[in-house]
Amino acid sequence: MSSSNMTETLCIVGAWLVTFGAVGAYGASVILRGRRLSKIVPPEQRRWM
Amino acid sequence: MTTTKIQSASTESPAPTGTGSRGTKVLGGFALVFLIVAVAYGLFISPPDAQLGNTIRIIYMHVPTVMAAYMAFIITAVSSGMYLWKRTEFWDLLGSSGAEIGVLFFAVTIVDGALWGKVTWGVFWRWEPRLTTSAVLLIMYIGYLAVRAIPADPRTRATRCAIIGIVAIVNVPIVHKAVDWWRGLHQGKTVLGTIDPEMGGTQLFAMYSALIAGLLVCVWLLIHRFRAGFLAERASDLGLDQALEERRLESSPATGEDA
Repeated sequence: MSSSNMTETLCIVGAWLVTFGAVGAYGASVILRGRRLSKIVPPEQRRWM
Repeated sequence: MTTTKIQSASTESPAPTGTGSRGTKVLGGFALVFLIVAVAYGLFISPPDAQLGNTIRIIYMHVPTVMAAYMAFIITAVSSGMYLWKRTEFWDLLGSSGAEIGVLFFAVTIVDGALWGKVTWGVFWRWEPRLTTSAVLLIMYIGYLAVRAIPADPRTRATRCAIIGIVAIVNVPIVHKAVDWWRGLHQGKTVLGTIDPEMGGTQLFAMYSALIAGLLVCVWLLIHRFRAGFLAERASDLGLDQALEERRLESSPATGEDA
């Protein structure tokens, strides 16, 4: 595999990993934060539509 | 009377243990399906582009993330206007949730674009119109989040953020139209905003699958982030109430120690 092909493959894989990694990590942090806060807030104040 | 009470308690669903609900589960399910399709077509099934080659596979991530970011920023702007009109916590929370998610998607867009630029132009970054206006847009919304993090009265903080949310949206059409208004390195519109897209067949299918997945994930995140923000406000209120109660008890003259 040539150097340019290697760069191309790394950049393609990197772009998909960055996208899924960043959005996935953010999503997980929001979910975990919500679960942590739910233990503090009384049930009658956490009713979703 | 007692029987009725027990029956109503047993039929009432328990309070959720997080920010999820049936609606978010359905939405998340749809997003997951479109993500799987986007991965299959974007990485494996669709052929390389005649001009872009395999780098089109980066565009399958680049375009959906920027559209998700634009949507989040528009939600922030609308919520900011609504907050200044209605002055309710709902619009403030929705606006801040949109800004945070918009920054996430836009930062990812810029990184994806830089990786595409490395392959196509040989460099990660060029100070050309689209990239420069994008950097300004990202900095403006990071500023929004920074202002939100400054300790202040909630209403004052919400008003400051609402003003920034309205001012910052002006930059979105400038970023989007930068490729038409100024000569730069960044390529023009390929799919969105064109009558005759420069791609077709499985490439177009991969792009639209990724686009729908990106927008669904954005909405899913927005709902969870909004609810987490709502819970944080309630927890903060509880902490304040508790502190006030403790202070009241401390200052009460009827305690044993004081006597």
